[in-house]
Amino acid sequence: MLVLTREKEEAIMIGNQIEVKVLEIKGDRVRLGIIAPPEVPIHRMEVYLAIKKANLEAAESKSEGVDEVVRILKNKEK
Amino acid sequence: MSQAEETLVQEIRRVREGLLKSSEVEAAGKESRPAIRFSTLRFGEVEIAADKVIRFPWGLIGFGEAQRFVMIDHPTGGPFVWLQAVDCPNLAFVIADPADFFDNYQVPVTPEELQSLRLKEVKDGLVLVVVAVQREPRMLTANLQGPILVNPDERIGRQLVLQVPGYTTRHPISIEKRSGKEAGGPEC
Repeated sequence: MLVLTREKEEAIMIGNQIEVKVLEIKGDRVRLGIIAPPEVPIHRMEVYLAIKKANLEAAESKSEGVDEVVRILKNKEK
Repeated sequence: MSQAEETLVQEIRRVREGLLKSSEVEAAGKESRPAIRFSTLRFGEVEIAADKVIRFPWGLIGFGEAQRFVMIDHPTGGPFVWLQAVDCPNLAFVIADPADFFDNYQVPVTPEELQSLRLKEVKDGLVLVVVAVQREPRMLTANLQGPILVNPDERIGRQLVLQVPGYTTRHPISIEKRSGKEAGGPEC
């Protein structure tokens, strides 16, 4: 991991298009400003990881499981 | 509703109603439109018109390598559709129209996200949710925090990451007592 020290109002560039700027430092909290092309997805890490985990779980869904659910739903409609 | 959007909605409906059987998928591929053929774990060999492919330039979160998907009906019908990766035979997600299960599910989209999908407004796009189907214990959950937004005209899609209180990645869908729709969390 590359480690850089920055002060308030200082920034870093990632490639030619992504700028990350330290806007405010307050105790344990740092506010960052990010300028990036619109197509670059930017997420808070914990939320990103939660969705990744949910996707991994969802990708384990089995056809047989959906069969069962569809059967139950169809019985309810009768 | 634009014509392309209508077509996609009809496609989803048809797919959902189980009318698009594999024989029709085969037939669609034999028209003059260019077709693609690929193998899948769950559906065997699939041949489908190339313009049915939906591109996900950023993949789905955690699955960046798969960028081309098609929608395939669940063989026994019901409200679920599979989003099958063209280039990864094993990779498929169960997706659903959130309106089937949740009232008033709102998806706030940033101007950057809209721009990246070449959409003017959210209502021009199609919102879908990923459903996880667990067998033992039987549990059905919808990822309301990471919906999929598709531009039906351009057939391009992206998984969004929402910061909305009450929207979780594992929102239970009750199938045992499904009398009408349920509220989708405190906010929806």
